[in-house]
Amino acid sequence: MGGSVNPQGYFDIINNGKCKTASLGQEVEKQARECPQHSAILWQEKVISYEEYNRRANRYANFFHSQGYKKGDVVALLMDNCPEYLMVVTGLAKIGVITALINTGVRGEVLAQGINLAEARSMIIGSNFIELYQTIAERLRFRSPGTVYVDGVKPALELPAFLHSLTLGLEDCSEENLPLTSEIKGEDILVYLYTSGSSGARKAVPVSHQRWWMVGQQMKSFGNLDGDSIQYMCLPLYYNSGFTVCFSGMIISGSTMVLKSEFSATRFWSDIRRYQANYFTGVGEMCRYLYSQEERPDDADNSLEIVICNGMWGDLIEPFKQRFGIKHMIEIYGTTENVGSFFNYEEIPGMCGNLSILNQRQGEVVCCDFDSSELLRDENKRLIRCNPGMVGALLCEINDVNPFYGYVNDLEATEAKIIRNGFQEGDVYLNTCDLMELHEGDYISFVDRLGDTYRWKAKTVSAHQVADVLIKFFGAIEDASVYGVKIPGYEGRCGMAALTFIEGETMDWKRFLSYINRRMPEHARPIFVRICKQMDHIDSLEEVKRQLQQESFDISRVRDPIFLWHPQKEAYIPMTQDIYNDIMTGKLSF
Amino acid sequence: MNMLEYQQQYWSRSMDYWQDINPYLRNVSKTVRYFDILYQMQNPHPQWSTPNQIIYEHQTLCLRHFPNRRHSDAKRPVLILPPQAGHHSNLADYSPAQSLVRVFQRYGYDVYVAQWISATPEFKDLGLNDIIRLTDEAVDQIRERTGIYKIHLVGQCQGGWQASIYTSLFQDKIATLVTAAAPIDVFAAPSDIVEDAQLPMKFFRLLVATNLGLMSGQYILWGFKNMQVEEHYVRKYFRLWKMIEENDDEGIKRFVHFENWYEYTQMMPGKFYLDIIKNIFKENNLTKPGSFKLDGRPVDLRNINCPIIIMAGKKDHITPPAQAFALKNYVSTPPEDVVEILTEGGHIGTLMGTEALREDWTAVNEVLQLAI
Repeated sequence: MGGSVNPQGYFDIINNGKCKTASLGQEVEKQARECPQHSAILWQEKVISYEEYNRRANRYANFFHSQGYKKGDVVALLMDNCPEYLMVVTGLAKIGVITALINTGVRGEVLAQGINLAEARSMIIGSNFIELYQTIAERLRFRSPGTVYVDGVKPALELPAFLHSLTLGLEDCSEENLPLTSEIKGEDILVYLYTSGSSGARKAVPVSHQRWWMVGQQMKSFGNLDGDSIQYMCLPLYYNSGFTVCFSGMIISGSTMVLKSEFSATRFWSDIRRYQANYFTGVGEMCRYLYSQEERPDDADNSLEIVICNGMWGDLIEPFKQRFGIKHMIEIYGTTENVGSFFNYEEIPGMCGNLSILNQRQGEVVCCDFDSSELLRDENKRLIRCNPGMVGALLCEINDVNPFYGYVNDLEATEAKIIRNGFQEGDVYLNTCDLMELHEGDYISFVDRLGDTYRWKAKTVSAHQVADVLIKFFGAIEDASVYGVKIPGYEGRCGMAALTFIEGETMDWKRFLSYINRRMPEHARPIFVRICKQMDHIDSLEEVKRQLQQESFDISRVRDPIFLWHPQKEAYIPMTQDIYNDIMTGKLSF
Repeated sequence: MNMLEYQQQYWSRSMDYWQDINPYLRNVSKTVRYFDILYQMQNPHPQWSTPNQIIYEHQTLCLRHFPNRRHSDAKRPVLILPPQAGHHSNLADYSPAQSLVRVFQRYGYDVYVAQWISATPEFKDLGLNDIIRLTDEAVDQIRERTGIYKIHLVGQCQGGWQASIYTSLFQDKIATLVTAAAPIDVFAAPSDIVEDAQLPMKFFRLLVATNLGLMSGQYILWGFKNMQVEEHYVRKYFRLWKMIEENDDEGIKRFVHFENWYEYTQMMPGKFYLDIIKNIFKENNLTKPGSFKLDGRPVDLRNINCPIIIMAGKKDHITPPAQAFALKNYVSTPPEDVVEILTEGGHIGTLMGTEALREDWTAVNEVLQLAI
C-alpha cells in the first residue's frame, strides 16, 4: 500500500481528457485484462477475481442485450449488498443501460414513488425482497416490457406469478466482452441515485460514468487507495458513498473489496483481522459505535490503516486513531448531486475539506438567512461570501469538470438547486443547502442542514415526507408537523412530530406504531410525538416549526403531552421527568 | 351561580345522595340515559363533516365541492358517487375521522361529491337514464370548472355500478374508474339482497305505489336490517346498555353518530328503484352487453377501457367479493390495468371503516397517482 497522496497526479489525469471516454465497463475490462487473478471482491468465504467478476458481469450484459435493452434504458435494482449487485450494475453499464439504485430501507408509497421516478423498463429484485415487492406491486409503473426479475432463485416455478428468474435467464448467456462497451462514453449516465435533497421530496439523481470515474481517481489520489489495498465495505451500495466512492475507488485502483451486507459494530474488528483489511470507508456514526464498544487489550492489534469518513466528530479522531492504531483518518464531504468533492487529506481535525483543491476553486461559503434558508445578496444583487469564522451555505460551482445533470423528470426541483449569476454574470452554482463554517485557509467544517430535512443515524430524513406519512394515518390525526431535535451525545437530530387530533378523537398508539413501522424506515420514525391543541399554519408554517423545534422535548417548557418512542419497550409511552433526565444524562440510548 | 345552575347542582347532589343510600338507584340514571339516547335516535340528523359548498343543483342531484385546504396538486379531480339506497350521501364524509373525502384530499385531490337528495313526488318518474344524465351533468360541471378533460370517478356500492354504466357510456370523460362494494354480476355469488329481489315485480311496484310513486328509504332499511335481524333488533341495544354501564362515552358517541346516519332514510324516485330491481337484480343485465338501453344507447360495459380499481370486502354479506370483482370480466380494460383490492371489512366497513380508509383507500390513492 502506497499511502502517499498524489493530488497533482489526479489533475494530470483529469486534464488529459480521459474522463470523456472512461466508463465503468471499460475500467472493469481493463482490470480483468491487466490483473486477472487479483482479488476483486471477498464475499463471505468466496474470493472473486477481476477476471471472474468481469465474466459474470458479462452474462448480465449479454442477457439484457439479447432482450433488446439499449443505451439510455433504465433498470431498477432492489437488492441487498452482494457481489451480484455490482455485477448487475457493471453488466448493464457495459451496454449503456442505467441502473436505478433503489433504497432498500424505505417502504410503501415512498418506495413505489422512488421506483416510478426512474421510469424503468424492468426491475431486478433480490429473492429476499419478493414479499416487499408484492406489497407495492400494484403501485408500480414501468415502461414496456415491465418485467420483474428475481436474482438468486433458480427454479422458476417457485416464484409467484409475474416474476421471472434472472438466474435461469443467465444460464446460457455468453461470458465474453461485448464490442458495444467501447461505445459507452463518459457523459453517458451510469446510475440513478436517490436523495431527499433539501426540499424533502424524493428525487433521482443521474450519475455519469465520467463522474463515477473521477471520484475513483480522487480516491486513488487523495484517499491513498492502491492495488494492494483491501477495502472493508459495509455501506449500502445504493448510497452515493457506497457506490460512487467505495466501488469506484476499488475499480479504478484495482484494489480488493471486502463486501458486507451491513455494518456490525460487534463483528467489525474480527472481520478486519480475518480479511486483513487495511482500508475502511464509513460514516461518523459507525466510528462512534465502534468507539463506544468496550475497550479490549487487542484493540490496536488490527490491520486497518486508513479510515475515510463522512461526519466524524473532530474531537473523536485522535482518540479513535490512538485506540485502534489507525494511521490516517480522512474526512470527506460530498452531495448526492455529485458536484464538487471535498477531501480533508491533510487530516486537519474537524475539517471536511477545502474550498480549493490544488488552487482549483470548487465552491464558496455564502451568507444566508438561517430561518428562511434564503441566500443573502448585496446591493448589486450578488451573493456575499463568508469570512473565516462565519457560517453560511456551501455552494459548489457547476462547470465542465463538475456538471449537474439535474433531477430526473423534475425541472422545478433542479432549478431550485441552481444559483445563477451569484458572483458574476454567467456563473452557475449548486446550492448544497448545507451549512458550513469557513476557517482560515478556506477549510470548511460541517455545521447543519438547511431546509426541510435533518440527519439522524447518519441518514438524511425528509421532514415533509415523514409528516406526509403521519397525516395519512386516517383516524385521529388532523395535522402533523415534523422537525429534527437535538439529543445530547448524538450526532444530527432525531425526528419529533407535533400532532393535532380531530376533536374528540384519541390515538391508538399500538396501531400508530405498527402503521409507521410498515411505512417508513427505522431512522425516519419520530422519536418524540407532541400532541398540540392546535397548530396555526396560516401565519407562517416556518415560524410554528421553529417555535416547536426550540421547545423541543423539554417537558419543563412544554405543557402539551409528549410521547416518546422507548427503544427498549418498542412502544410510544408518555414522557416523564425521569425519562427526560435519563435522556439528558445518556442513560437512555437510541 | 344562576337559578338554573343551582337547580341542576341540587338535583345532581340529591341523586348522588340517593344512589349512595340505595345502589340500585344507580341504574335509574343509566336507564334514563339509555332511553334518552334511543329517543334522540328517532330524529336522526346526518351532516357533512368537511367544509364544502354546493356548486350545482338539478332535480335530485346536488353537487358539492370540497375545497382542499392543504394542497391540491393532483392532476385530476375526483367525483364520488355515494349509493342511492335510501341513505344519506354523507357516507362519503361520515365523520372527520372517517371521511373518504379527506382521504382523497390528503393525497392532494380536489374532491366533489354527488349528493342525491330525497326525491319529492315531482321526481317520481326519474329513471335510471335520468340518474345517468344527472351524473353526466355533474361530470360536465367539474370538467368546466377545472378545465380538466377526464376525471377520476369513484362509486360506492350502488354508486359503483352507476359509475360503471356511466363510464361505459361516457368513457372519454373518465380517466380512472373506482368501484367499491359494487354488485356487477349479482349471480356470481349468493346474497340475501339478490334473493329478496327475486320476489314478483308487482311486489316492488306495490311498495312504490304506497308512497305516491316514490320508494321509501325506510323500506330499504328494513330490508337491510332483516338480513341481520339479531344484530339490528337485539344485539346493538345490548351493546348500547353495556357502554352506558361501563361509562364508555367514546363508544356511545360513535354509536349515536352511526345510528344518526344509519337510521336516517330518504325517498328515491320510484321508477329508478324499479329499473334497478329489473335490470340489475332480476335480469343481471350488466353482464349482458347491450341488453338494455338508456336514452337510446345500449349499455355495454365492454366500452370501458380505462384503468379500473375494484374494491370488495371479505365479510361483505350485501355485495360478496365475487359479485364486485366480476366487473373485470365485462370490460375491455387490459388485465394489467385492473387492480383488485380485498378489504378485511364488511359492506359498510369497506366504504367508510377507519381501517379500510387507512389501508385500502390509501392503496387506491397510491394507484390513482399512477393514472395518467
